Amino acid sequence: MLKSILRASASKTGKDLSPLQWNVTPWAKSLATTATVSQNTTSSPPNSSIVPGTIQNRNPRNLEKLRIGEKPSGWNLDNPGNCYWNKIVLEVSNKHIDAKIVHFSGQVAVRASTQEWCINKQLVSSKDNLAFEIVAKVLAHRCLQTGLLEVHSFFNEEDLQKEKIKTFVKALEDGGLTLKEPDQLMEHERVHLNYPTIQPKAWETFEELDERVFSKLGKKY
Amino acid sequence: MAQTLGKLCRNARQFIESPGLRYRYKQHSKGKESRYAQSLAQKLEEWNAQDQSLHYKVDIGFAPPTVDRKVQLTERLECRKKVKSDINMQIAAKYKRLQVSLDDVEKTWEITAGPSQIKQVAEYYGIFDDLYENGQFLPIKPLKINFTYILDEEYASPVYRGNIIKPYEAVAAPQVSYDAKDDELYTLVLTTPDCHLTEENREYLHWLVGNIPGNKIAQGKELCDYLQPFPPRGVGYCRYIFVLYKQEKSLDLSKFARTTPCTNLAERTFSTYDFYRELQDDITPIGLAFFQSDWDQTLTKFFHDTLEMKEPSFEYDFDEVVLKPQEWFPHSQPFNLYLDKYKDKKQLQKELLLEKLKERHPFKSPPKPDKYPLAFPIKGSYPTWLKDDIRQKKMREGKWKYM
Repeated sequence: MLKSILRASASKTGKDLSPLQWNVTPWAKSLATTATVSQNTTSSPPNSSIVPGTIQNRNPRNLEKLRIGEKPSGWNLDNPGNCYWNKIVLEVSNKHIDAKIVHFSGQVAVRASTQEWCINKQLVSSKDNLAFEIVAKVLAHRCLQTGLLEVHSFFNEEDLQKEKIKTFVKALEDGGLTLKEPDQLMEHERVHLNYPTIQPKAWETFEELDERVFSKLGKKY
Repeated sequence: MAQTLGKLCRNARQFIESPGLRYRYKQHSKGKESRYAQSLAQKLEEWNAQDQSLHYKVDIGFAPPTVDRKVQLTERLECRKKVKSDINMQIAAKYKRLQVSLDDVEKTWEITAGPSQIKQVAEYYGIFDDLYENGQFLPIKPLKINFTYILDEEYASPVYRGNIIKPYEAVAAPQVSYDAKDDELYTLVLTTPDCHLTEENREYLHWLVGNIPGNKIAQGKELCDYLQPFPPRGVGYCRYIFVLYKQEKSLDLSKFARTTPCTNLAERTFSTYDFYRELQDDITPIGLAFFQSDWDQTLTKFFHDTLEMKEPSFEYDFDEVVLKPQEWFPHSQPFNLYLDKYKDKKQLQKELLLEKLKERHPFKSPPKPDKYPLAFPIKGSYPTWLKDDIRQKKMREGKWKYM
């Protein structure tokens, strides 16, 4: 029986590593050195001749996933402000519900709305409790499909007392979406004290490999 | 008295109105007038504005299939009428018993809103920028891609648009399916634009199959065999992008053929821009799917055995800290903190780690922190600066924060 899996767990939360999982101190790794690889024009050089220098990961969402990426800061006097990477926006108009995940730059990542025929045709009313629940369910599923596991929400206590928004938020969380973004790992904190932390960093922390994978592939790792 | 008061007032007014001097009681207008003043958001918009005649994207794909809007609307209205007249459905909706399956929603979505939303996500992940520079396309053909692997049962990791799949799940080539007629020809390309180990702005080609009849990938010509994703350690999440091109006619793609099996990374260097530019008259992108992957422990063996190279390991290159040049005799600076500022960071990390290791047993769990650590007096006589350091260590403050 084929089981389809859509990864939903948030991995990089910066939690403390158990002693056996510590990474070796950073200087023991190959330090970044700039080196050029001389390329043969006739045949391709072997892989062993590759000397790693500095490489660039062009994925624009990578730094945010590693928690190093910047959240726009300094807007403390604004309410609610924009200290987030991706936020959830819920627009309720007279006839429709529109839920979006919006990046701080303004780009819309994921969208689910009762204006879409695929959702609307299954609903009786496009603004009742059930509609909120279904839109949230679909949005959460699409977020997981897009790789967005944590999203900032600006719903305050007042909003959450409204029943429809409560069902909306609950359906999102049941769908696998976390409504709290992890904190940005602030480098300037380290710079001010100038003490490099030995806090487990997101790019050095890795999920523990599934035990079943280990048993299948052998314990050579 | 009145005269002197009057004189004083006059003098005061003169005092205040004297040009070139600022006084407390004078009204000063700060910044520009309200009709010219801009908020920060407006200023940023102006500064970041790009010339539309230079920064525009060319549509290199197919137009969406034309739908007779009238017919569609009448169909949909009929559907809505049926729903409104169905009392059972209305009752179920009221008491939240109405079942809505996500599969049905997704099936309709693929045909209606899917392509534009996939394109939106692709723009969010910067895919068109990195593959085509100034091209973009609407992915009108939905792709169903599944990586199957066996642990205790058979599992399938589907590829959507940016979901996370670990390398151990993607060891074998995936099953790709899409709707197509047998007489049509397609090309499937799997590349990653991130983390090329030697060159800038180049991709690694993971899979290239050309002249696929319909949707039978097995019968297409495999010009480059499938290689699993290998995002290097410390680099974070790399994107792996499937692009399906529709061919006008049967093509000779031997120029892009690699040796089988190809494990040489220099040979796998690829540029979608150059590939498309050469074949742009004959192929058009029609389908898009991508996933993100990051390092896992199985890749060490992969680098050693399959790629036959040392496993590269990276760390993020933060900006250099800007400090004043170090002085021999810094005035009023605590010497220990001052010297630590200029110490090599790796050395400092080493010292902190050694202190941490002193408290930890390799096979036992970490010791629980005391509830009131400062309740226990510091034994022995130490200089003040060292006492402060010991106190900070107990309280886990400052450099000891992440012990």
